[in-house]
Amino acid sequence: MKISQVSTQAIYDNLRHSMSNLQKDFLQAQREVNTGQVADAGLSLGSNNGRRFTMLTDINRLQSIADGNSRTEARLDMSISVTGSINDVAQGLLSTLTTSVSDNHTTHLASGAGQSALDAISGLLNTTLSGEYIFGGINSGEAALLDYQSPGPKDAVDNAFFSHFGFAKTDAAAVSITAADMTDFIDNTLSPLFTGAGWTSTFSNASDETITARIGLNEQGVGSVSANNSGFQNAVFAAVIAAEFISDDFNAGARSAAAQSALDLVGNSTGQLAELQGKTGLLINRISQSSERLNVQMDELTIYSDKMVEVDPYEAATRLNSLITQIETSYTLTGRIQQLSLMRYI
Amino acid sequence: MSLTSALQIAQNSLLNVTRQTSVVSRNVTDAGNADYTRRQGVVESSNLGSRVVVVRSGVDSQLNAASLDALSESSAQALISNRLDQLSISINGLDGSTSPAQGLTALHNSLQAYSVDPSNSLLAESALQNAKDLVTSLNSANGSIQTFRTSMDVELKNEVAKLNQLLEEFHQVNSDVTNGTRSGRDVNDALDQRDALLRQITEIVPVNVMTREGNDAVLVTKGGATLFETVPRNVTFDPVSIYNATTTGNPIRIDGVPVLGGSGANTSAGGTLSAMVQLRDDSGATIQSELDEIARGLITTFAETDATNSALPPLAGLFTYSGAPTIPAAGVLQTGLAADISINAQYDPAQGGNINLMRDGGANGAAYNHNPTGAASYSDHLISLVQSLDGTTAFDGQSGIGGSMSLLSYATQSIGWLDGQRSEASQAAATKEALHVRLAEKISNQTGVNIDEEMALLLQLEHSYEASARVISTVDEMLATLMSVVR
Amino acid sequence: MSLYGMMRTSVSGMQAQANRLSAVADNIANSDTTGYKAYSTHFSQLVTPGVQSENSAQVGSGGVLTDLRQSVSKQGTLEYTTSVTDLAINGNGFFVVNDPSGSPYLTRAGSFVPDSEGRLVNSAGMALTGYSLENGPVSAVANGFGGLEEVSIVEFDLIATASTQGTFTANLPSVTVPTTAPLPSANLATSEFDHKTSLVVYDNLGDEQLVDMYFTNTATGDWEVTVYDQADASVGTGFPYANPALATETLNFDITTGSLTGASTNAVSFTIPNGAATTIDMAGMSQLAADYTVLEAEVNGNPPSPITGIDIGSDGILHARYGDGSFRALYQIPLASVTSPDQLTAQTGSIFLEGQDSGSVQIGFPGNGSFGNIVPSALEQSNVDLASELTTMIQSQRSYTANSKAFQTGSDLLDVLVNLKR
Repeated sequence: MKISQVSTQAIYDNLRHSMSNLQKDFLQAQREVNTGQVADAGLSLGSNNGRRFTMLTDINRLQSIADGNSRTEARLDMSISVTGSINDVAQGLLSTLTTSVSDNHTTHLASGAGQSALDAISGLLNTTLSGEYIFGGINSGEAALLDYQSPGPKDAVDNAFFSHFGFAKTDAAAVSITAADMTDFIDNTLSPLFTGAGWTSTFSNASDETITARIGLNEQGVGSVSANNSGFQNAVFAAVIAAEFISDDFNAGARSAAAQSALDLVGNSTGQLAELQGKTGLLINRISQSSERLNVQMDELTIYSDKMVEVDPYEAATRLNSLITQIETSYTLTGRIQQLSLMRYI
Repeated sequence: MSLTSALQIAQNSLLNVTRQTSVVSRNVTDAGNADYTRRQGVVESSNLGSRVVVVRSGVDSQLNAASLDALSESSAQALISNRLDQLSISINGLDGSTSPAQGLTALHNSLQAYSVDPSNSLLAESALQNAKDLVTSLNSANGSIQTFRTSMDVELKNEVAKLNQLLEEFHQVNSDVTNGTRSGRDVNDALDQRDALLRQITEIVPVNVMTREGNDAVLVTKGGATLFETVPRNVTFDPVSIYNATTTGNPIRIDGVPVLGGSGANTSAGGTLSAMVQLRDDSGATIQSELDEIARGLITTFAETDATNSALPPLAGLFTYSGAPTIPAAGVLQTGLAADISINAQYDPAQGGNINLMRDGGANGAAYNHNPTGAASYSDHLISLVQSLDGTTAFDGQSGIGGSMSLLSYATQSIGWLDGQRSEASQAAATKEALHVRLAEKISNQTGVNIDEEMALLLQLEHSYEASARVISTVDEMLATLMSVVR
Repeated sequence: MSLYGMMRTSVSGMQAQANRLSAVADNIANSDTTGYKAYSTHFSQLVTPGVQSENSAQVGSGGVLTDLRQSVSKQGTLEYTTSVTDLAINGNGFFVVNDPSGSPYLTRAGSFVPDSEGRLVNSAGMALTGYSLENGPVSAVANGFGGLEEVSIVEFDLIATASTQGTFTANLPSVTVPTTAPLPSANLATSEFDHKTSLVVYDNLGDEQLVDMYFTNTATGDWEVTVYDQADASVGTGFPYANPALATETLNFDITTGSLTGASTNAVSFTIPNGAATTIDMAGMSQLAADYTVLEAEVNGNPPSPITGIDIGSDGILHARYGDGSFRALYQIPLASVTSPDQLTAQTGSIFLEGQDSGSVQIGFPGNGSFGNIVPSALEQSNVDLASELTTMIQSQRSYTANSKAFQTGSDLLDVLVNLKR
């Protein structure tokens, strides 16, 4: 009696079974060689796949923050250059005013320069970036600076004049206004219109509140510059004085006082605008640093998450080769075993 | 001894050889039949002649029981592994592509983009669209699970019908075996049939086999319920035609005893019934509760908060549900929320809502509006929403994953949980199948037919036939000689 | 001594050989007859007293006496067949058969088949007899045919036996926590149980009934056994049953050994609805740290069913086989023997009668004492050996020829004597 029998069925089953297993492995190895990644990440990583997914979603999210950062940077960049332009306008006004203070005959020029500076500044402050008024603070839906001409802020300026002197600017009595009166008017009656609530109710639609931007996972930064900055206010103030009060309606003393005030304001303004530019540059710097950090983080995460599903291409190729050899051997073996039958010999 | 008896013995021998040959030919015919057990024509001899008794190769009963166990475990594990794969694809998509985590990331990203550029209504639309997609994905994942549970019930119903049918056949065959055994008939074919049926039954429900007098088999499930004893016991099941998250499936009862589902991805279940119950009641419900927790997390995270510092409670915002405006209790699983969650109509311009509510809040009244002036680039509320996705929330431990974590990491861990289950199940399936195949091979080696061996036996039989024939012709010659002497 | 005497002697020799030849012819003719026993011829000398004087001795011409013997006790070869009612005897003994008129005979020809009346008759039309086991085991009437009746299997159809006893052995897991829910014996919809097994039992009509047995751990080592009729069960969970429990007992286990304590109940008794009182023996139950495992579950009884066949064992007990696979012993087939089987008188139909010299008939059971065994599905061939018959025939022929030569010589001599007178 035989000690251990092998049934024909078992021989063939075994062949079939190992063949189907080999072929399944083969398919998987082939896919791994082609993609350089494991065939089914979920199956091979198991619950660690959750970790990989956290990384992948993190990469995704960091990318979205980085994308947002470049948008913010664009806005701030634009703000800087616009602020620069406004500064240029202010500088222009400054030189014109400097001449008017010393030369009484150029009043006509100063008034025109004031008017054009006012137009330029309001045009620049109302710059839009894809429909957004970038100097509007959070209230970016409306033009940051109102149009000066009536029925704009000009009415408020005229009203202030009337309330201070009791007659309109065009009245003949205006000639009698002294330099001291003029300085008093500018410093005490007119000036509140260009600061704080006076400014926002008269000239500006912009919100003091600047746009906050999320620049890192847990980091927020200022994402815009508001038109309610004193640099802008002073520039506009100077331009308004130049346009309105350095005119032939007033005597030379008063004109000179107004020009002097405007000159002071423009001087302040250029300094403040330069400072604003610098501050905004710092904001951009902060954002780009954050973006850089985000990129580094993303790179790291990408490396780690890829590593989790990575397959050594050499190892996979070797495995594929050995599988091919195995399958070939198995085919040969099947052929041989099928020939190995007593039937062929009796 | 005499010439006549020599003749009779030779004749007897021829008869025996013919019977043995027929046994060999039967063996060869059924060499490829996995359910066939090799027969052996054993010659029983006495001084008065001999006869052939057909003997069926016996199997080590320990091995047989182990093989049946392995079969039922393997069939359960294979089913679980296969169905978890299906479930994973229908809920999370290929490599998580349609998972709630993916939807949540998309929502996060579009909200982030929106927060950078809050005046851009296209970005608002896109964020709202992503929120809608997320709700749809949760709703449909919930639907997938319930469809899955319903289909489990249909499968269970078919499986129970099949089991009842198999038991009925088992009854027939078992009667054949017992009757035949008691009357000494050849019951080998019936035994083969019974073993084959037993294997089919074992795939459905694991059994202990007990043999009584007359080779009468009694089947008792591993859980102790009587499955077959003289007559088959009733296996009953009422399928639920439509499942929702709160529906509890009906138990399958074998002789009144409920079939318990297995537990764990490397399941403790044996047989498809137990595996299906596990998938329906355990795996399905766990995934469901994870989705419910994600839905609850969404509603809570996106709830509108008091903007006036007057300690008003948070109320449902962008994501809402039937219990709105109050938000679901913190840290407590609310079953069915994944199906219930929807986009607040007040936020959706398509339903007459105001999309700016996303930026400002205020669906629950002015006290919840953080941007009363309606500033177009107000981003603080959006940023706080985006960041709250990273904030920790307490999740109910009743789902697969509990504890405090961010909604996003909960969603990704939910994928990890399912993949962990899949991976474990798939590995266990490979191991259990290997064991089953190895044992089946071992049994096949004990009971199966080796054609070469049969051929060798045939040669041997041929020789003994020849020899017997020679004896007959010799005796014939001798008698002829004798006859010729009688003149 | 006379020529005539010598001629008579040779005639007697020829007659003797003729006898022998006829025995050979008989043997050859019956060489394929089942149960046939070969004849052998034995001769003995017949002496006629001769004249013995002082100087001459005269041979008295004698003769040959023929004695015919049948080698009844010589076993024939068994030939296996496929019919379960073909019977052969291996060893001593005869079947007791009745001829159509009802007189008993002995025979070894066992090619029985059922006839239209269900009797088992052999090829010679002889009906097999046996002791009926309807009223339990019998003992043989040692010295006569009393108590024997013809075996008939027609009227034994449709016999139902109600269940009366059973055995149930199982292990109840020792790690179970005693339940706090209502017990099965309370028969409430909320009743809970630990384990359940159902058993098939038979009522008086032989109907299959299922009884549910619930095992519930009530306290450490204590298990309540509750038996219900499954027909009363509610759909689904079973509880509540329409009728109260058939029986409730408490098994008490020794927690150190895991077996039942001496004082514990070890059986459950209940009356099957419309059936008999039944006792299920549970003495073998154990409570060990293993799963609930049923080790033995048997209940007697059988449903009514027609006889599907009969089965005769080597001990001569004829069982009826029923449709459900159960069996019932119907007859004990005895064997008869005599002191000198070879002296039995053969009758037509391979049957024997007890003769003067055979000794009287003794009846016994197969396998007992000197009786042989019954071999089912086999037939005893005749014990004739053709070769020896043929040689005997040649031998007889030669002897006959020699006798005829002696006779011819006598006749020639007489011729010579008669011609002397010419």
